[in-house]
Amino acid sequence: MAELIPTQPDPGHEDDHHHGEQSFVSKYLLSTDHKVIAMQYMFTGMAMALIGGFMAYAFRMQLAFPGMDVPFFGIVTPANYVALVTNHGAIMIFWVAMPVLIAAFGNYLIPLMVGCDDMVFPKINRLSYQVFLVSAIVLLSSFFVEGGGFGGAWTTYPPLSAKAEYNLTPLGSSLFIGAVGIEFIAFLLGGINFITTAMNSRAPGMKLYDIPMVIWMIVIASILFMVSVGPLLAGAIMLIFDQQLHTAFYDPNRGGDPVLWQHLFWFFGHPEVYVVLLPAVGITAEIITVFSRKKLFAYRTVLNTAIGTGVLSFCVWAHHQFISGIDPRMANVFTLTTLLISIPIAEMMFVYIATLYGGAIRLTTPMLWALAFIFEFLIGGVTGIFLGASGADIYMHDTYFVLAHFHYTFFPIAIIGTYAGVTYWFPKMFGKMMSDRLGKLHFWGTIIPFNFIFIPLFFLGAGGQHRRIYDFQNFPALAGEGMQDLRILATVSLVVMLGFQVVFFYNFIISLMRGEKAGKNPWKANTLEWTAESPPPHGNWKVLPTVYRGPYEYSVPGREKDYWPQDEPN
Amino acid sequence: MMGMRKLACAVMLLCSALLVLFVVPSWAEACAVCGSVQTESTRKAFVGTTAFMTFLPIGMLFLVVGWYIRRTLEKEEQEGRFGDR
Amino acid sequence: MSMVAGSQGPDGLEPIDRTVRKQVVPHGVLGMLLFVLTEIMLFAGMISAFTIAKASAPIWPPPGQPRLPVEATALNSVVLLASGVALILAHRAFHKGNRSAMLRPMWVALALGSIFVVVQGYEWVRLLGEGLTLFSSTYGAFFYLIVGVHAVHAFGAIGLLAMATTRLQNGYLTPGFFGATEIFWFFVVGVWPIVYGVVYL
Repeated sequence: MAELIPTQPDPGHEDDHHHGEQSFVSKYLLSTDHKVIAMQYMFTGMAMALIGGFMAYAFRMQLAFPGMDVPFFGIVTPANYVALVTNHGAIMIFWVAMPVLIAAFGNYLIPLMVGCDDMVFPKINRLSYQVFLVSAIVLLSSFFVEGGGFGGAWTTYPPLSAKAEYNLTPLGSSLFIGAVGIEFIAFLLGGINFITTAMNSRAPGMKLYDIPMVIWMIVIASILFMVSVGPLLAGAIMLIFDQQLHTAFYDPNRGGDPVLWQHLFWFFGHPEVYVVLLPAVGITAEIITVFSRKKLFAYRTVLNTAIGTGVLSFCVWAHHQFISGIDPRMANVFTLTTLLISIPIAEMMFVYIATLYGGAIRLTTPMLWALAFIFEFLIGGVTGIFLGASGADIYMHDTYFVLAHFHYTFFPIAIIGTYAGVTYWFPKMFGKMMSDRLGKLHFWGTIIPFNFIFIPLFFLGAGGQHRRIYDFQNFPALAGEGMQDLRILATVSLVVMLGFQVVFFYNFIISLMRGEKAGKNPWKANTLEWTAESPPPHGNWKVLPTVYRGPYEYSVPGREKDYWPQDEPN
Repeated sequence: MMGMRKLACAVMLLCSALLVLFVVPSWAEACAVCGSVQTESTRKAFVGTTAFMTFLPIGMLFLVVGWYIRRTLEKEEQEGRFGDR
Repeated sequence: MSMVAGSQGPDGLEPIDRTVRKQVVPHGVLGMLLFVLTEIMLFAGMISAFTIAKASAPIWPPPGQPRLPVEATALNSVVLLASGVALILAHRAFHKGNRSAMLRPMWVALALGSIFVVVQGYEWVRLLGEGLTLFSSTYGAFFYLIVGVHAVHAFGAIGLLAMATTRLQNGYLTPGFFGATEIFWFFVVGVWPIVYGVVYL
């Protein structure tokens, strides 16, 4: 390649690197440092999680005690109810799981774990968070416009979502779709950064198979996201045109086709599940190797199955449309692929169990979360088999069985995975140890109620309870004594679980203020981020590290220490 | 590289299994609501675009990511761990 | 040799001691390649939607709608393809290290791209006058959507190429930036024949 070395500095790059004392604005609000951006993503995601959790509380109270004046909320009207359910789903997936698992952990970990000073496009990274923040504000503002928030379910199926006469939210529906679209642009910018940094900017000596598993997972997830998001963006543009300009893309009376939206939406919607799943699986891999002091059982297998999952995830999406009038031949094919995709995921779970086998397991808080992830996600995966088979799905479709199934996948991903990551990397992020006792209290206070929320919903769903009903008293067959008791059990468990989150925030703040100093490598882990100061300064290292081996060399025979950092020559 | 070849074999096997199912549609005619409203041409368009949108990203990824990974691995093999310093 | 990572030294002359491994491809090229994958899928989604709408219609194009200018647009397509050829010439000059020889093909590519956009805009005005609008039928709606999105990308590509040309004149066009520009331009040129074949024919 011709050597064309810049003769002049790129005018766009100059102002970043030589500020002396930075003001608050340039240090925190306009910083291009990947760690600051990661923290912004994380705290925004946590704030949105509180909002989404509050929404769940409000509508669960309505379901358990119909017509009740809900404390801190008031009477839940039917319009409120559908808006709450819709936005709870959208917020938890797009504004909690994605920003925390991919954007926050991706931003924080990728440069630190591959050993470089920052993302390769720091300004694009900054822009990405700014765009994301705008999307969150747009979404929340939809509650305060005329007609209120959109209530047509997070999947926004037309014609309900396309026509204001049907959904009665002329502005809310467009703000909802618009917010989702803006958010995708933010993650598009982030994804370009993640992949390019991890693939192209690794420390000297770090070969492809020396990259820690969590980085691979975030990279594969970003690739999946980027390749699947295009059709949904096209569909979203068409939907906003239908809503605001009254075109007829989805209007069957004027030559459109409402099923078209499902076609475009689920093309993105299913890979999206794996987009958020894979980072959580990667975080688990890091934690269980460190706390069982064993090498990851089969590094290449996990990597290959993750790639296989990614490939298969493009072949399963029509299983969301088994009763939308699709060609039965397609239903046939998609049943097969859907059942197939459980194989690579199962293989990963087996690898993790094999990693744990015979290890010197230390049950710290992050380890508990990681083990809980494996266990709870397994339940979610196994119940998915029933829904993946098109014959069973015709009965189960749109019942609480579906709802319980995807909460058993998304809760382990978005909540358990996040808590695992936060408790594990907290010493690196803030330089202090988190209280283990409070952490365990929070763990049990979250996991036990979680199962009591969603196991009853499996029973209700198998009993035929439909998903989108505001008040079950109007349906005598669904309002019997036993069924209502299960609903109350689920709601009470939810309130208990939300209450226990206070322990986490208390622990977070108290550890920040009074936690024990962490030092560089409190867990005695191998990966590169533990060789930087805690918290790492701007630029991460004074001298960038050099890598000599893979990330999982624990308990190597013949060595005095049971770990072997990647940057130690011997 | 062995892993890649195995993966390719698995994909081929999967595709042929799908093809078999595709020529025997009657195996799946259990759904009461399926295909009641669509015309034959719409149905074909849905099937066609489904295949198109499924295989286009997979094909592109195999080309682009495969090219990049192969290039990186080749370089690693030639130059060893520190060939790039 | 090692390439400088993202950061330049304070005065832009001495790179800080932050050399990392040699990039397999420049950052800009890899980033743009990934972005283009997304864009291809955006067009795949729209083209799929169009195919389905077309297949569901009893008669296509719907009766009473004006015909699209097939021949004029074919000529215009040739103009766009020619701009791609011009950029290939610039690419060759760039990799021979001959900067003065690449300036002219880049200007030619810019001019041809601009001509394409202007002619497309003229055709839109004419079609609107004949009664083909976003609201007249799904035919019109899809036409303006798909061709409009392509036009937005064409504007983006022209802006990017103009930036690359400016950088070339000022003497700091990097392989990464030029590669990214090329990829995006080839994407805009390459996707057009497909759009033309599906929407116009």
